[in-house]
Amino acid sequence: MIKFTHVSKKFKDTTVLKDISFEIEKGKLVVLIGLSGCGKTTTLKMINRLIKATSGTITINNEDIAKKDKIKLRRNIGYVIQQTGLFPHMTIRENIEIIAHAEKLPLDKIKNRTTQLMELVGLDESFLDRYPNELSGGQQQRVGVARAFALDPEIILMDEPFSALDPITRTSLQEELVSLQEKVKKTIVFVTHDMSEAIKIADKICIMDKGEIVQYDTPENILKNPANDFVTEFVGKNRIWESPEYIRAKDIMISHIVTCSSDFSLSRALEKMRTNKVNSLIVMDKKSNKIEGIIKPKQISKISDRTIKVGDIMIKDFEFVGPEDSVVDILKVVEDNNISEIPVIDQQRNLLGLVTRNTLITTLSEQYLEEEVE
Amino acid sequence: MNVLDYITTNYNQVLGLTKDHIILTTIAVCLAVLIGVPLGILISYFRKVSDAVLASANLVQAIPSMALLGLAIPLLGIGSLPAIVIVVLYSLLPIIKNTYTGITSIDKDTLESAKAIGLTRFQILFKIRIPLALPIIMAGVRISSVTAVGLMTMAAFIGAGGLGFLIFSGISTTNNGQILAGAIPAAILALIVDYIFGLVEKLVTPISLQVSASHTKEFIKKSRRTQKIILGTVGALLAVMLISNWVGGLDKSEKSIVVGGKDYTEQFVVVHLISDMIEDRTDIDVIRKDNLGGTQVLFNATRNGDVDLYLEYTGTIYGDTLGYSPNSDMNEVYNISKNDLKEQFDIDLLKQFKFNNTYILAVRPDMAKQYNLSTISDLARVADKLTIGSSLEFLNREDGIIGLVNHYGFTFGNEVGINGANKYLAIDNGETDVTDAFATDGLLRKYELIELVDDKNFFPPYYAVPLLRSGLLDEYPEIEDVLNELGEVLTNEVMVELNYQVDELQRQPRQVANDFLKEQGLID
Repeated sequence: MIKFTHVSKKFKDTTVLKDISFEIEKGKLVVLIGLSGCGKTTTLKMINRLIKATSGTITINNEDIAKKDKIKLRRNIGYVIQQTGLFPHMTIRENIEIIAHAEKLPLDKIKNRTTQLMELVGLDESFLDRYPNELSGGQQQRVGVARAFALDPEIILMDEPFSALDPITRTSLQEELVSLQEKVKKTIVFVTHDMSEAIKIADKICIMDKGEIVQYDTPENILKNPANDFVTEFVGKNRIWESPEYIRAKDIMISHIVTCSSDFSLSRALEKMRTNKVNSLIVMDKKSNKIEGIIKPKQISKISDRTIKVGDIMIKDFEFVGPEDSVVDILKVVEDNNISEIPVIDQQRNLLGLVTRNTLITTLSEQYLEEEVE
Repeated sequence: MNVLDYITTNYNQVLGLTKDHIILTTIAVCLAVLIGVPLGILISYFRKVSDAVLASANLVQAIPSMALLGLAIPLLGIGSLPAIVIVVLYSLLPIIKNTYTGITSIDKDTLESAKAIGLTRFQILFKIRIPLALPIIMAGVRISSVTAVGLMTMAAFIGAGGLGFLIFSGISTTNNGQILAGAIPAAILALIVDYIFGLVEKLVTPISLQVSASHTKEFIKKSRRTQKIILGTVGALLAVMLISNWVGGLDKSEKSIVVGGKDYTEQFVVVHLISDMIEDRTDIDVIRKDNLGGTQVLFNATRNGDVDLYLEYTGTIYGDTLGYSPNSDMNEVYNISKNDLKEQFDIDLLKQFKFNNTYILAVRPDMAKQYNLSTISDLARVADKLTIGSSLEFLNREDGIIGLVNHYGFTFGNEVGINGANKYLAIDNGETDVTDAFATDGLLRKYELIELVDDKNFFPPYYAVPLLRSGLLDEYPEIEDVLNELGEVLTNEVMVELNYQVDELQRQPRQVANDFLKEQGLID
C-alpha cells in the first residue's frame, strides 16, 4: 500500500536516509524503530510530506504522493504525535472536529462521528467540552487518536505517541491499540524507540540504523533470526523472554525419540525403557510412521502377563502439541495433565519430536543462566 | 485657582477636550492596530525583513515626539491628521513587536501537528497562530494605547485639541489649576484604557490557559460575562462618540475661516479678539485654533491653507521668515515684509496694529537696585556675573541674544533656556537674574519686574500685523476693515492689561477678549 522506492534524504550535507526501499502492506501495523537519528521519524514524516524526499519515490496505492495535493494527502492520513499535538486553546470537541469542519462536512454527520470516535477510544462524551490541559496524558493521547481517525483515513501515522506516558498507562494504551487495530484494520505506521512496545504491537518491525533499513520482518523472526550484530544488540539477548509465546514447540523439542511398535511385548518394552533411561515409549505404526499411542511403566505394572502386546494397553487418547504451539501452551498442558512427556505432532499425526519436563526446565532456565554469564 | 474650581467653571471645555482626546486616541490606536498587527504577522513569514522593520519602528520610537511633530507639519499641515499620524507611528513598535513575538513563539509541535492533519497555511494562521498569539498581541496593544493617551496631549500643539490644550495653556499662563484640569483627566483616561485593555487581554486568552487553583473554569466563565458587558458598553460609547463627532463635523457652515494663534497668553487673547470682531461684524463663522505652537507651525499652516489668518509680528516676519538682518526702522520693516510675503508666498499683510510687542530685557527690582540698572548699557557692565533665563526662541535669534550681545558688546555669565511662564518663576525665585520678555507681557506686572531701556536701539519693531493666507482677501474682503478697526484700539497698555487679566487674574482669554470688546462698544 505504501511503497518506498530508492528514497534518500539529505539535510544540507548530512544524509539522513540512504536509498531506502520497502513496502508497507494494507491493514498492517508496521513499527519503525531504531536509535535516535536513525531516520525513522524522517521516514514517517515523508509519508504525509511533512518532509520532502531528496530523491526516490513514495507511492500510496501506486500513486506518487509528490504529485498529489499536499493538503488532501494529509487529510487522508491520520497523525498522532506525543502529547503536545492537541491545540491547547480548543476544546476536545473542537480538536477532534477541526478537520471535518475544514472539509465542510455536514454538521450532524460531524457530531455523530465525534460520538463514535469517543466510544472508539474509550472516552466519555463529557470530556468533549473540556480543554486538553484538563485531561491526563493518557486521555489526551486517546483524543489524539480520535482526531487521527476523524475522517476515517486508511493510513494512520503515529510518532512515538506513548513515549511520554507512565508505564501503566502506556501498557494499557498499547493493548487498546492492538485491539482497536483488530477492529478497524488500518494501515498504521508507528515510530518508537522502545523494542518491547514494538514487539507487543507490530505486525512487522522495520529496524533502522544510520539511515538504512537493517531488518524488516515479523517480530518473531527478528527475535529469532537477527540479521546482524546490530539487531542482536538492539533487540537484546533476552528480549525473547518478554514474549515467551514466540518460543515454540518446534524450537525446543528433542528429535531423538525412543519408540516402539504396537506388536512389542510388554517385557520388551520395559527393557527398552530401562536401557534408554526413559519414562515412556512412543508407539509408532511401522508402515506409516504415524503415532499410535504412548506406553508408560505405570500401565505395564498393573498387568502380570508380560507377553501381552503393547498395542493392547497403550494410551491412545494422549495429550500432544503442535509444532507452532508456544512454550506457554506446553506448560499449560503439562501442568493440567501432570505429565512429563508430550509429543509434538503435525496435523497428519506424524511425529516431529518430544518435549519433556527436562527440555522445559533447560529452556526456561536459559534466561537466568545467560544473565549470569554476562 | 485650584483644579476643582477650574473644572466646575469650565466643565464644558474640559468635557469637550476630553471627548476630543478620546476620539483622537481611539482613531490612532485603531489605525495602529490595523497597521501593526498585519505588519507583525507579515514579517513573521518573511523573517529576512523582520529585522529591518523592527529597527525602523525602533528608530521612530527613538526620535523625540516634538521633533517628529515639527517635521510632520510641512508635510501634513496642522490639526488632527498629523497628530494622529504621529501617535500611530509611536504606537506601532509595541504592536508589531508583540505580534511578531506572539506569532513566532508558538510551540513547534502544535504547529507541526496542525500542518500534519492537513490545515492550510491560512487555517493555521487564523485558527492556531493568531488565537494563541492574541494574549501577547493584546498586551502590545495595551502598552501602545496607554502611551497613546499620554502622547496625544501633544496634539494641542498643532491645533488638534485634546487635553494637551489645557496643559499647554496652563503652562503658558502659570495656571496650575488648568494644567491639572488637563493632566488629571489624561491620567485617569490612561488608567481606564489600561483597565479596558487588561480585560480584553484576559478575554482573548484561552480559558484553558487561565484555569488555576483560585480560578476555576466556572469562575472564569462567569467573570467573562461581566467583562464582555463592560467592553460592550465601552465600545458602544466610543461608537456613539465617533458618530456624533462625524455628524457634528458635517454640520460645519460653508462660510467659515480659521483663525490661528501661537502658544502664549497674548496670542490666546488676540485669537478671540479677532474672532469675536469678525463674527460680530460679518456672517462668517470663525474656527478658533489657538495654542498652535510657534511661528514655524503657524506660518506653514497659513501657507498650506490650514489656517486662514493669524496675528504675526513685523520683526518676526522680517528677521525669521524672510531672513533679513535686524532693522530698527518700523516702516521699512513693514513695507519690505509686506512686499516680500506677497511676492514669495502670495500672503497678505494688513495694516499694522498699534501695539509693538518687541523684546525687552527685565530684572528683579532688588537686582536693579543692587547694580543700579535702568538701561541695557547698565546691564552690559555687570552681565558677566548674571544668568539670563530666556525663551528658547530668544536664545537662538539674530534679533535676540545673539545680536544683542554683539550690539552692546557683552556676554552673560550663563544662559538658560526656559519656555513659557516658567522663566518668570525662575527669575522670581532667584534662579535667574535677567529675563527676556515681550513688551506687552502681563506677567511683567505680576512679578513687578523692571524693564531695561533699549538705549542703543537694538530691538527691532515687533508691531502686530494680521497675516492672511493667499486668496483670503478675495473671498472675504470685508474682514480687512474689521481688523483695521480692531488694530486701532489695541495699544501696548491695552495688551498688558488684557494679558494681566489672564495671567494674574486667571480669567479665561475668551472672556477677557469678549468683555473688552463690549466695554469698548466694538461689539454688541
